[in-house]
Order: sequence, then C-alpha cells, then structure tokens
Amino acid sequence: MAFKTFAAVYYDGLTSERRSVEVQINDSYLQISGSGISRIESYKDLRIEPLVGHLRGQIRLADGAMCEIEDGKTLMASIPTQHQPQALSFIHKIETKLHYVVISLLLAIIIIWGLVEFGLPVMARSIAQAIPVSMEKSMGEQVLNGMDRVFFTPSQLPAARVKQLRKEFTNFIRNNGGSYHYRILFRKSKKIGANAFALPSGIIVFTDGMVTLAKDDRELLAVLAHEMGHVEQRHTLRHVLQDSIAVVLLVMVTGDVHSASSLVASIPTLLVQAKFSRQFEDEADAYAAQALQKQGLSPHWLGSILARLEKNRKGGYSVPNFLASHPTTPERIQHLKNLKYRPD
Amino acid sequence: MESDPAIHSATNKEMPFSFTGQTGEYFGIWIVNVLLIIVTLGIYTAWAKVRTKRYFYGHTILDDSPFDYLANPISLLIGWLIGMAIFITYSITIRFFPLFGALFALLIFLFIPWFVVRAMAFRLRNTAYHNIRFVFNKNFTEAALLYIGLPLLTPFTLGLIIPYIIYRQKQFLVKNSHYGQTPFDFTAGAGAFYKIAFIALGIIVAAMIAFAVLAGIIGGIAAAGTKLDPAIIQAAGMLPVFLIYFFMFAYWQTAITNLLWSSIQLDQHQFRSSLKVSYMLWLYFSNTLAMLCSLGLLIPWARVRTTRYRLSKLSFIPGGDLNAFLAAKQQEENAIGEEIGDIMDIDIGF
Repeated sequence: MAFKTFAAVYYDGLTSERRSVEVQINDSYLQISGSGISRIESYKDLRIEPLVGHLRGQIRLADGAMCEIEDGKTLMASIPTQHQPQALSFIHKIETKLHYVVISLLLAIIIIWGLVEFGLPVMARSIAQAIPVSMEKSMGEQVLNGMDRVFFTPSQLPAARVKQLRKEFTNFIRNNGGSYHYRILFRKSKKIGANAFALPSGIIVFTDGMVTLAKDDRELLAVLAHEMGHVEQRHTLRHVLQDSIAVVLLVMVTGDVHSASSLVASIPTLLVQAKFSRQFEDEADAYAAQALQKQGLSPHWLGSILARLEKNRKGGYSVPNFLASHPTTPERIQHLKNLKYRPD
Repeated sequence: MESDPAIHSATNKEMPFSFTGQTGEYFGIWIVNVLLIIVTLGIYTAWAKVRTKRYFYGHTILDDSPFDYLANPISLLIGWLIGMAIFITYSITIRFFPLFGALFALLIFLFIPWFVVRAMAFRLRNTAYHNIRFVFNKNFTEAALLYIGLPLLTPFTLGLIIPYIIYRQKQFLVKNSHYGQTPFDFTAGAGAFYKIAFIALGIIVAAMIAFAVLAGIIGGIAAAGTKLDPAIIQAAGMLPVFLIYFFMFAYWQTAITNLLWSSIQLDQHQFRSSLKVSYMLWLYFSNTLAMLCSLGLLIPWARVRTTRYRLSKLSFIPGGDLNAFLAAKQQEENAIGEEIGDIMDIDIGF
C-alpha cells in the first residue's frame, strides 16, 4: 500500500501546545506520528475540513484533536474520493477556476437584473391582488393624516369654485366607471405648491396651487384621470410592496457582505425606486389618455398642464423630489403629444 | 510544558497579526456566494457565511498560526430562517400598521440583551486558535442592565451617560470572554471613553463653525450677483454634512478600536492596536467610492484591504508561554441569537 506523507502541526484540543508530526495517508487509514504521538485513525472517525481558497488543510479527529497541513490542496487530492466532502469540493472548484468565476459573475448579473426588471413587479402585483381593499383604506387614511400634519393647511379656494370642480370631477368619475369609491380633497400647501396626489383607497388630493395653475378645467380633469390611473392600478401599494421585497432581497444577499456600508446598500434600492416610479407614471399617463378619450377629451390637456408645471418649477421654488416623483416630464409631454386623439 | 523547539514561539517580543488573504481569491468565493444565495433564495447564506468566515479567520495569522471558524452551517441556517421570519414580519407590519410596528420594535428592544449574549456566545465558541475555542460567559442579568436599564437613563442625563454605557458594554463583552479556560481582562476606565466622546464632539463643533464661515463667504459671493442654480447650492450644503459624518465615523471607529484592543489582557499577555485616523478615513472614503462606482463588485477588494490594514496594526505582546492555554469544557450553542443580531444590525464585535 502506497503512503503519502505530509509534515503537519498537531493540536490535541486540550492545550494550545503545537507539535510537529508526520501524517501518512493511504486508502484505508491515516497514521500520525512524531513528538511523542502515535495514532492510527480510520476515515470514518475523522473529518476532513472542506477547502476554502488556499487555506491550510485540516483533519479533525473524533477526540477533538486536529492536524494542520500547509498544502491543503495536495492533502485533499491524496484522500480517497469517497471520504472527501463532495458537494463543497465542487463549490471550491467553481470558486478557484477563473472561467467558472467569470460565468458565476455573468449569471449573477443577469439574474439580479431579471429580478429587478421582471421579478419584483410581477411579485408585487400578485401580492397586491391578494390584499383586501379594506387594508388599503386604513393605509390611505394614515398617509393622509400624516400629510395633513406636515404639508397641508385647509384650502383657501372660494367655495363656489370648489363646488363647481367637485361637480365636474364627480361627473368624470361616474362616466369613467372604476372599482374605487373616490374621495376628492382640496388642500393648500406652501411647501409643495402645485401638485396632486393619489393615495391608496381612492383619496385624491389637489393643492390650491394646482387648481389656480390650470388655464382650463379640462386640464384638471386630465390630472384627475392621471391620479385615478395611480389608484386603479394600486400604485402606492405596489410601490410599498416592491420596496419591501427589494429590501428583503438585499438583506438576503448582503447578509454575507457585512462590510458593505448602509450607504452603498441603499443606492441600488434608490435606483430601483426611481425606475419603478417612472414606470408607474407611464402607466398612469396611459390610463389617463384612455379615460380622457373615452369622454371625448384630448390627452393633450394632460401634456399642457404638465408643461406649465415643469416651467413653474424651473422658475421658482423647488419641489421636494420624493413627493414630486414625476421624473421625466419632458419625455412624458412628448409622449402625450404623440398620442393620436380619436374623438368617439 | 515542553514544546517542540523547532516551532517554539519567542516570548516577550511584540508579535504582529497579519492577513494573508488575496483579493482575487476572495472574489471567487464572494461571487459564487452571491450567485448561490440568489439561486437558493437565501438558503445558501449559512454556507456562504461559513466559507467567508473560514477564509478570513484562516488568513488571520498570529505567530505563524491561523485562527479558525468552526460553526456548523445547519445551525446557522436555522438561525437564519428564524431571523428572516422576524425581519419580514417586522418590515411588513411597520409599513401597514405603524403602531404595531412600534410595538414590534419595543419587543425587539427588550430582546437585545438576549441577542447580544447569545450571539457573542455562538461567535466565540466557534472561534478557535491552536485548536482551543473561545468561550463567552452567558450573563443575561448584567446584559439586561447594560443594554436596557442604562440606555433608559439617557434622556434624563441629557445623553451624558452615553460614553459610560459604551464603556460598560465593552467591558462586559471583554470580561466575559475566555480563551479556553483563561479569562480576558479589561483595563480601560470610563474616563478614556469620555475623552474620545469629547474629542468627537469637539470635531463636530469646530467643523460646523468652519462650514458656517465658509457658507457665509459663498453666500456673500452669490448675493454679489452670480447666478447659481438653487439645486447646486442645496447639494453643496449637504456635502459638509457628509464630510463631517465621514470624519466623525473614522475618528470614532479608530479611537475606540485602538482603545479596546490596547485595554484587553489575557493572563500576562497584552494587545496593541495602532490604527491611524487619516488612513482609516482614506480607507472608508476610497472603499465607499469604489463600491459605488463598481455597483458592489469591488466589495471583496474593499474587505480584503480593510482587514489587511486593521490586522497589520494589531499586535500581541506575549507575557509568557503561548503553549500553555487549557481548553474549557463546553456545550453546543445554537445560532439563533447571532443570525438575528446580524440581520437587525446589532453590533456585537469588539
């Protein structure tokens, strides 16, 4: 029987003393000798630690003693195959061969991209469908309460104007038909200026600034249609869900990459969020265009008020970005202009 | 005890730690970990963690001997599953029912002492050097006092108690640690922690005054007629905040790490850590920039170079025979505390 011999360091597991020994390996057993030690061990009584990189090789014996061998790779190669840790040896091979590393890198990039591009939206949509509207309702109320405290004061619009707008909006909503019971609210906000918000469960808030910005009530109907698009497609809910899933996935992956600072970890989340909100704006625009056309109105009204909103922003105060969430206005205006208007 | 003269350690001479890991080699381990974690929906995390820790511990060399990470992936996996369940429940409830989320956070807060002790016990038990494991004494009562009792006093003391709390927590972590049967001792006093905290505070105040003066000058120039985009001014205003934060972070981490290691005693043996704030600042800054620009692909590089620097500045000052430490009798420890601590980002290393 052919022996392979290795110089090793022996620790008995009882004291920190290290002793030089010689380890001899053959197909059926392993022999340790030197520094007053003489042991013969069969493979079933010992554990060969799986290789990681070029770490030293380790043989652990049943009584807690351990042998350390400088060249882990050669040691592993000398151990009979059936006594090697199979699955982890395979992983070690992938980790150390350049072409496997490159393939792993490409695969990881493709899978992460696919997950963000397709996986998350699909997951969020199917979960959103399972969540009852009643839950959305409490969410909407909470968001409204929060915004009322921080941003809004009661509307200063003349009562007659509000009444007239409500009538037009109610008509539009009734003719449009949708699955939500809508609640239209008017609020004044110095901080936000001209804007409109769709909250979960069908709450739509117009700021006074938005109402006075419009040169034609049809522009406000277009804004209403856009916000209804957000509501009908449950964008807030889906956004929250996508956000949560993205964070969970991130924690799953980076749980290993502990050193990554939270700043770095937050960047992909922000990118993903920005992408989602653009996607949602496009969806809401498409919904608005359709709803307007259904009632014989041109989608151009949405484009014209968007353009004025954009001009206003550039000229004066800045809108906090996290609320505006209308990132590509010029593109959207162009897109709306390109829509063919077909009066029924 | 007599030991082999060929590998006998020299005593009384300062021995540096070193890190022998390589970026290229670790990149392979890291990217395969990332891929398998995604493909297995996180299940592989346990194995990934063991491989990563074995790589880093195994390349941490003192006196020509490596450290060793011994955790069983299966116990890590169970801990991970429980940690994930808690984390997912928490992140969903906090979004839909903020009130319930607060209750949940309170519950987690009450469990922190337990997490800390369990995590330390698991981590130390699975760390070995010369095939002797480390041990952490599970003192839950003192942990409850230091991680719940004292922090509750913070508002009543206007925060002045914070350095004292940190001091007591670090002392607790060190004094309950053992290498085999040999206990660690902690020689620093509360004063050293107050000194670091006051210097850190001084840095913030000085930096704020400097930036206020600077802002005044820039504001004067802007008012004098140059037209600047408000967005640029806003961004320029945020930059100093980040800079102060970065500098503070680097100073605090460096000073605390140096203080901790230099105050740890193991029998007659001592440690010394001499990290430089300027170099740590550069490391944090260049690492963050590199990781951002590479979309995370340079994370392995950042980890390896940071570990290499930290260990190159850490040394062991032996006061006797290194071969005479005795192993302790121990029972198995499960990983639940450690994994939850990891996910909830509770800092338990020292």
